[in-house]
Amino acid sequence: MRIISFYSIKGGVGKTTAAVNFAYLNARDGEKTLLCDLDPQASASFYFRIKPMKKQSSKILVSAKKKASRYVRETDYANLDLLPSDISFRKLDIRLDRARNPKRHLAETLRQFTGEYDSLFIDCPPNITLLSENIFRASDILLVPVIPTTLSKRTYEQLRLFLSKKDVRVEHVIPFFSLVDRRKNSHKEMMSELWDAHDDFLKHYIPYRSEIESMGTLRAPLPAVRPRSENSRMIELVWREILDRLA
Amino acid sequence: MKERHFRADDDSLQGYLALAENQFELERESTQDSRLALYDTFDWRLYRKGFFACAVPGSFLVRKAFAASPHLECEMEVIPKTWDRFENERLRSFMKDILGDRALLPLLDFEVREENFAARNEDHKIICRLSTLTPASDGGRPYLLIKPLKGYARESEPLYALAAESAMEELRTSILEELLRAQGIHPGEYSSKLDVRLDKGQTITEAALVILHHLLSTMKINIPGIIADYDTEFLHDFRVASRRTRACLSQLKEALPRDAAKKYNKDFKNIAQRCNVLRDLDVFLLEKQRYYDLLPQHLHRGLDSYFAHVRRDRKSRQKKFTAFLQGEDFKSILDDWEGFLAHPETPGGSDPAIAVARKRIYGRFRKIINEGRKITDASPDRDLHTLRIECKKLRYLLEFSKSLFPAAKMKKLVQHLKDFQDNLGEFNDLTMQQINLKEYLERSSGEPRRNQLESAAIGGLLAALHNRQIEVREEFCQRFADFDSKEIHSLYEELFKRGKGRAS
Repeated sequence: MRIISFYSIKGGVGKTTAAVNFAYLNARDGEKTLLCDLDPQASASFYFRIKPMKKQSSKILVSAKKKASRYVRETDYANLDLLPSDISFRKLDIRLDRARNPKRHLAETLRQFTGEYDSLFIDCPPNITLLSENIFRASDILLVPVIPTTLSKRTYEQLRLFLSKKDVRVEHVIPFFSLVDRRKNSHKEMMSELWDAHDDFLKHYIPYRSEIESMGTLRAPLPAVRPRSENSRMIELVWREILDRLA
Repeated sequence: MKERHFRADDDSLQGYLALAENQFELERESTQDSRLALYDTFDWRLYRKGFFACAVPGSFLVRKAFAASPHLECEMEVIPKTWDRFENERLRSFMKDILGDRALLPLLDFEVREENFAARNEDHKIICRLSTLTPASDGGRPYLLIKPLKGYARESEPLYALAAESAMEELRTSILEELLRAQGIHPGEYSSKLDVRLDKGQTITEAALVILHHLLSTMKINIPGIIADYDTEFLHDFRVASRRTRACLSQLKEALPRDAAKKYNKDFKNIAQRCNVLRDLDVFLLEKQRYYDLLPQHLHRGLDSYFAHVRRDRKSRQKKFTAFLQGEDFKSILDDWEGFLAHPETPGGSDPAIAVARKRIYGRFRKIINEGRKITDASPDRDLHTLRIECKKLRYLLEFSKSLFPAAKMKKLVQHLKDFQDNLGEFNDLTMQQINLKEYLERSSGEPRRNQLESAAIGGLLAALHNRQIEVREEFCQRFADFDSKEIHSLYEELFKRGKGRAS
């Protein structure tokens, strides 16, 4: 089972959009996939029309006795399940802090899904916290959406610094551009600057388009409901490039 | 969360869908006519693990339930008979684990119209899927499947309640089993395990007849598979049943008249001898890869021609044995035996089966312990061979009388014995394989065609097998010590020793 996490220090960078669409594409290829919505905003759950869990559900990820699999919900799509989030997930940090092995606790809890799923996708809350450190340590792959702006560039570099300082070794850290507006010169310039500075940035990117924004009303992965649209194709290109990078 | 299956008719089904539509948003997802060919092994290995495999035009699917989304799926035109012929890696490893040495056989062909619906809640989230299946056979009566999505069992409950309201009959088994039964096929029916229930009040004769009837039906049911040569296990199961029959005749002496027992024992021995070599060759071919692995890469080519010879030899022996099975001699042996079982001439032994079982099992166990303790590193190989035969006899006795004693304890005893037998069995196999290889080498030593590479490969194999045999022999003492343990002794004493506590 490989664990793929979506992370950004900054909010509103298209992280959940990427997690929802990529998880769907992964499942469509026949991989048994579980998307864990760890963001207390529960946006990923919302996209799949799945209600947040009852209160106190954050315990399930910290207590070894609670079987998190009992809370898993099947999405409308083959091979794709979701572990819903809710507002109590904001307390995960406090709960982890009290755990026996605070930095690696989540990695141990997630092991219960081995065998049942081929891939675990994690939609992480923004900010650098104990929870994010747990997620980094549990992940095989860290996908980092970056809006091509000066501020996002800074936060990406902060993340790299954090990983090396804390000696967190993630096998693959893959940044990609998100919410790209090709009409903006500043975006184009920042993209070439970052491509020059970091050769790990993906060539394909997720554009800023109203159709992608409309996922909030469609409440479904875009390639599932608009398989032929240009935007679905661009999302798929990013995902294929990630798979190539992992191969 | 389990899917539930209902038998409907056109009216009740339409009524149900109308009621469901009142409570949920119901959306037709797909309609398809498909032709399904159901595949499994003769002993239902997929079915027993909760899977079923079917071929639809152009692809092959493995599912966990009748209309569930495929667990595994692959495009292919021709369905391979054995696991190693599957090209798709996932399917191959899945099939390897489940099929083992058995062939995948087409069991049933049917046409079915499938309509799929999704029931959604107020968030437009799918909570349950409904499928209607109308087979072309079975009078065209439709079936309904209700499959709640994971995590939505409670929300889906009204959909079950409506089925009862619409006067649909819930199936205790699955639709697939209904369809199979309608064709006279009973999934899970055949098993190579000796599964007889004896009664504690039975006399030894009554018990023996139950066992012998069961074994006869096992032999008969495997014959068509041997003749068609689907896989090696038909012959294997046939041979095991025939060997158990002989064991029953000779071990439970008081059960049947001595003359008859002697005659039939001889008949079954005759049958066994006709296929001993065939089974040896089967085993040899099944373990082909192991032999290649024993040799360095550059000698592999030398083995190819040897295995080609083994395959030819096997084929001709298979043909010969098939001819025997189809001939008059075999028919009359089986007819005689069947007639005898239907009307055993004499009243037979009146001892209670359980008493005979206790006496024989305990006696056999003591004998094995005594013989085994005498064996040292210097003992000749044939002592191990004798011990192996004794263990086999004990194994059969335990299997025959399994249902007369506490199940968990019997299972433990059989498992311990099996572990010990594995050592003795491997030792014997290694002896036989070396004999066969030596014979082949000698038989064709004068032939000019024999190439050096083949000789070298066989020489290499002989050395490797010899070394393995030394290891197995060295392991013997430890394995015997495990068997000759306090725990095992006290179990045998508790269950079988005269005058000991009658646990059963």
